[in-house]
Amino acid sequence: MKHIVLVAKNAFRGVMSQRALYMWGFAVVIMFLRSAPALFSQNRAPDFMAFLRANAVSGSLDMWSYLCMAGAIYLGSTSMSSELHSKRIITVLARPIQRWQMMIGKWIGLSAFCVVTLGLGIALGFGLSRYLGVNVEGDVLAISATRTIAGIVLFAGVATAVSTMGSAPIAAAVTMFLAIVPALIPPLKDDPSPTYQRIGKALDVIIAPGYASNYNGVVWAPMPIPPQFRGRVPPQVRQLQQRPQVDFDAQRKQTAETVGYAGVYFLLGCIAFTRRDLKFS
Amino acid sequence: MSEAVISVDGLVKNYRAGVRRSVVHAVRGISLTVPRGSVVAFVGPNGAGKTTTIHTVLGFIKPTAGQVRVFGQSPGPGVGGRIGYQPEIFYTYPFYTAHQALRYYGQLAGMSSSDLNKAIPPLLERMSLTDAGKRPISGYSKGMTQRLGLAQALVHDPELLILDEPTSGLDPEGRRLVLDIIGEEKARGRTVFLSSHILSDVERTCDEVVMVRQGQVVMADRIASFGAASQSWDIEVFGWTSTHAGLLEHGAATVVQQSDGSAILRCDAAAKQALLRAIVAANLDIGTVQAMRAATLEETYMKHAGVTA
Repeated sequence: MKHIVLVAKNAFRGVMSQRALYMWGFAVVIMFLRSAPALFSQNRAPDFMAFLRANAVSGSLDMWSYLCMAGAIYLGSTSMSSELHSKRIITVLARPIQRWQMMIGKWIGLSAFCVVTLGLGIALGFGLSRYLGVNVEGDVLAISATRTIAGIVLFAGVATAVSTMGSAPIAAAVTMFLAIVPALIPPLKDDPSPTYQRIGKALDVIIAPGYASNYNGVVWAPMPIPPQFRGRVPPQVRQLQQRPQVDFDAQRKQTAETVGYAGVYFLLGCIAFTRRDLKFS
Repeated sequence: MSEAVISVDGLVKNYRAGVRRSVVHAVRGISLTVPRGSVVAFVGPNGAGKTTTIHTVLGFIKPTAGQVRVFGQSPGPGVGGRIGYQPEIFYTYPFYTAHQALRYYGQLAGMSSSDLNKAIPPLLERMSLTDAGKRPISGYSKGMTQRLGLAQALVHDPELLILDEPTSGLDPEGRRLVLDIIGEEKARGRTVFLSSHILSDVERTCDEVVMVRQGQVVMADRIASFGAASQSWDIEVFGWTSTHAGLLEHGAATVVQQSDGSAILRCDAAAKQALLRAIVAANLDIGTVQAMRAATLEETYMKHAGVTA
């Protein structure tokens, strides 16, 4: 356990030294731009302003959560591969530390950085909501953040495990594939072709649940529709007028499944990395 | 016979490389033993299999065939705390200071904070890194980084030091420091296994040498046996013709070289005086008279392991 903590602290410190403050600053700027319509619009109709404010907070949190998961993919992909390429791993593994301990340490350290980043974003979101005078749905925010953390853990874990093969681009590509494929599973399962159905069912078992953001329910206001358009509103826009319903039990189940899949994928990566030769050119 | 700290028996390592996945024979049956308390050098040209063998000893690579034992156990984390390893080029985390890096490596080796507080300052001083110890490593010169690489290998006071080209990239002062440290570690009863291309360093510091070429051991001997005086003498004689062959009976001498009226005669030390008197009596001129010596390490290296061997 001591070795894992040491490597985790080292990984966290490594990310912090790589201009993490600039990354956070960049994210704050994007958050600010995302909120700009609500911050600077004046003399608009009250229902339109309420919509803009709600959208600023929920949209900012949503964007921030995706940035955190993208960060998890990037940092995980470069974690072990950079250790191998730079040969720094040699002097670490020459000591009484198992390879899987190093991998877990990296995973924890990088995930911790992304979770801290998420926490920073949520704090900024709270500040923004106070400034704009809108109420945050605490329980929706909690389950949304939990799902984001599960996503961070999954993507950082998969990227870290695959990066032990030595290639950061391959690790990132495999992780992105895992992030995208869940959206393809329902159409495959519903396809009339038995082959596609079988592929869909197989992928449903192999691939971790997809990430679904619930941040749009954290602060919500109906989308105002001008009177002249009320008769011919498309269904997609009509949906925005209804408060999103969050199935908390389903979200908790999917969160647990995501973490479970992350553990299984990571375990496979640990086994592969422990068994292979470490060749350094 | 002292206990073997490293025991490599018939080590074979094959890789598959390239698009066609053709087999590369990196190591072809290397056997060697590093006794406790000795300094053993591992020399050979680039690509001879030295680093592959060292990485097998460290547990990074699994042998295709053969057996490797370190402290009587299989290589790997189980014995990692007893080994200090300095790679040929030391790469570390640039955001650390030397002090922090040594702390990290020491903690990974199982050292406590109090032990590290005692061990790090004198080690940094020994490596002439005290002043730079609080600066980020990213600003270090190559020589400073290499010295830090040696420090991280020593921080946990290992029983076995494995040094891969330890003087690589060092200035003469740094090189001398490394050689002195190897000598100090030997005096403390530690075992050192080092690979090097610099044969003068090997002659100065090591007890034994193992030469490898193309993945095989081509020669292994004690350093003391290289360049040592032997019992044979060479006498250069001018005016030599075939009619003087009878002189050879005076010392069971042999003609080892003959050209244009000169010859080099080789005889045992005991017969040298008699042969010299016979040469003078025969009115021949004597050129050089010199004791023979065994081949030097460099000569032996060029013969067995050099690229022209």
